[in-house]
Amino acid sequence: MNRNEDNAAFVERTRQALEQGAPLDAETADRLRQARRRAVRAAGRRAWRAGLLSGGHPRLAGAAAGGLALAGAALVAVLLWHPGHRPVPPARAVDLELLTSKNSLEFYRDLDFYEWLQENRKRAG
Amino acid sequence: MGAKAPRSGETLDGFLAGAERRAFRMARLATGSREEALDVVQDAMLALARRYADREPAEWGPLFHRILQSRIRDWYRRQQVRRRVFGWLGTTQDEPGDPLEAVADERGAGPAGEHAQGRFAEALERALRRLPLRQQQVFLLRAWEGLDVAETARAMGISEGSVKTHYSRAVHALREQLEEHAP
Repeated sequence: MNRNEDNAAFVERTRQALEQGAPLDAETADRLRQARRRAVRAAGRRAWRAGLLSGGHPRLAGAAAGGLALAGAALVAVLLWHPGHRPVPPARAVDLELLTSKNSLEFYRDLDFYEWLQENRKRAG
Repeated sequence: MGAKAPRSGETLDGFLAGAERRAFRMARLATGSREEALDVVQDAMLALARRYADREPAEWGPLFHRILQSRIRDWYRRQQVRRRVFGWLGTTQDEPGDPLEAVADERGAGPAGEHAQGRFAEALERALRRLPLRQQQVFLLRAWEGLDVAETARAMGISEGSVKTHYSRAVHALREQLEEHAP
């Protein structure tokens, strides 16, 4: 058995040991279950709020987001071309886009991660 | 995606139920404390649910691991700050470089933890606790979660080259420590 095969066999053994590792005690398992339920409820509340904002109509949500984006674009246009005002530097225009977007700031912080996910999905699909 | 990527149509509850045990054990190995590990996992679950529940189920795995690793790193950094603030060791200067590269968990290395156990799983757990945090988590993500090099790099926010280095060092260190348990 060469070194690589030897390592692979060792890693497989550790994987099995971890998989079969000591079961969780009842209290820990229960607290994890409670944490999971809290998370699922939080997701439900988020979906409910999103539904409320759009009146339960996904097209309305899209229209609202579109309206915001349009307003943002108009604001950028006014700031860029209004006589007597200096053009907004590109960095500020990007900030305005961030402020008027329906996506959270977290989304922009993780932008490179999403690009990678998308690339990965393209390769897989 | 990794070996345990959720299928399309899977519910968030189903995904978290499948991931919570491994996530807890990874966090416990990193923090050495059940309470801290439960907090870390709960935080990661809530963050995934609040921010990304509406994403495709196939994305939950990479997102969850990224959040979990971020929470584990935050926990370690907070511990470091606490240590500096309380400063009972008399060290007030920052260590050069990234402290997470070098930090090793000494829990379980005491005489009581060093008695021969005879069981590979227990010895493995002790050996994993002694690894530097990055080596430990890279090894768990690669060997246990089944993530590939690129996925592990993304989850941990490090380069693919670093993943390969940490993984190789982890395998080497674990083999050395578990030599007496070789089949």
